[in-house]
Amino acid sequence: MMKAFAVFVLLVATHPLCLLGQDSTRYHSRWQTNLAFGSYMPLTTLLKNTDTDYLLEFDDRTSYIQLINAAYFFRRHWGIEFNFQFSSSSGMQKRDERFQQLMQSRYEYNYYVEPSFSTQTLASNYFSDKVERSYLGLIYRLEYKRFFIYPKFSLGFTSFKIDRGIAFLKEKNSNQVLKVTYAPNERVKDFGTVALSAKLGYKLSKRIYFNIDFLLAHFKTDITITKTTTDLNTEEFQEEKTDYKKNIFTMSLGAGLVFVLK
Amino acid sequence: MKAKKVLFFLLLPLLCDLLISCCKCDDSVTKHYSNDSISLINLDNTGSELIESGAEAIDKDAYGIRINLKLREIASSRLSPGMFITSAYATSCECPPPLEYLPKDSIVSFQVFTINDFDSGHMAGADISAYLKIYFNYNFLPIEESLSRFNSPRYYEEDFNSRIDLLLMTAPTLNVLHQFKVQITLSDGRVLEQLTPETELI
Repeated sequence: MMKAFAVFVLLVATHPLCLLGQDSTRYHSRWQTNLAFGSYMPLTTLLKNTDTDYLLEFDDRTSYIQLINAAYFFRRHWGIEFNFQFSSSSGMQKRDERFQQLMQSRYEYNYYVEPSFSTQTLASNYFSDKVERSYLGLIYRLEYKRFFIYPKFSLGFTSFKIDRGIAFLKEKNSNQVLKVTYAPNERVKDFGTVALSAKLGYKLSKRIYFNIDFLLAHFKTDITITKTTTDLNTEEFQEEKTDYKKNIFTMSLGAGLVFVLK
Repeated sequence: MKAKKVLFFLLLPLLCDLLISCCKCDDSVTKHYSNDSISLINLDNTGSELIESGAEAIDKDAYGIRINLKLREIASSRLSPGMFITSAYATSCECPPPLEYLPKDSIVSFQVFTINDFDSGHMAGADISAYLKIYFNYNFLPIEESLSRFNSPRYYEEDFNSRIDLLLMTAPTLNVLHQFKVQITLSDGRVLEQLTPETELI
């Protein structure tokens, strides 16, 4: 009995040690893909808490899902990786509603207000209003028996749309009507982005790893939104410009699964 | 060579007719309409939308006139088929509308006169057309710029009761009681004119 127990203990104790000792799971993969989700948190914010914020299909704090990812290791330690992420937030989904509320509250004392966006998504879902991020990066691979860490330097784009807002203001007790338009300098903006990131995790099996992603990114915005208030009777108008020219630093934290393809 | 050119020009109308005949179009019916009569109603624009008003008093900054222009169908004709070839229904192309109403008599002038003294520059009987604008879907158009719109073809029978909303963009400074005369002169010499109901502009 004692002998059988000793054999059992030996088997149980040595099996993980054998696994940790063997090198078969290190640096063997060439192609990987990674399904991940997480959150972006602002280090510097783009939004200004003003009416034009609602025109930006952007939020400083968003959730993301990484749907497209491919990594190719051309050397034992070096590889390249492409990522494509969608990110959104509940605030972004309510931009239209909040824009209308803001216009109502701002003008309703003197005017009947009819606000609208120029582009409304018919099939609205969580990612109908979204920020798209794509990165192409150089990975340095460090793998241990069970753990791994892949530091990465990436270049890419952060892209989002900017809506055109319109509101008709019918003056109370009067025939006068004003038209307020918010027009961006460009409807779709792609901002060059630099990112430093690290993917670290634990190898659940030879082909599936659990990973945590940490990323620091920077992009510089160059958005101008022009608010034009036109008296529709006289066609006289006033213009007011709002600039979003800022250095945006953002951080993301996510988790996912890495699938070793080959 | 010369004979080929002559032959080509001789056959050109046939070729054109062949192209036209390849269109799959329903027969187009062209009718004519005449501007028949007008009726006027005062408008109150104090709220979010224009409403017809029979009130004795209306805010002078939110006054308007609704003109109901009644049209009358007077004749019809069918579009003639091709000279040589009837429609082959082979393919489709830009077809004319199935029903088109063309104006028999166009509006040549559209004026609004004040019955009472309006302001120091416009005494009783003066033309105040420049003080009014045609309003539709948040658009303001000067009356004289809209004449072509009134004389445009119509495509539906519902268009036979045209509604024209005029808004008074300059308030009167003399008198409280006001009445206006709308006068539409047609190309055939007829004049359609009506008075608005009298109202106080306060």
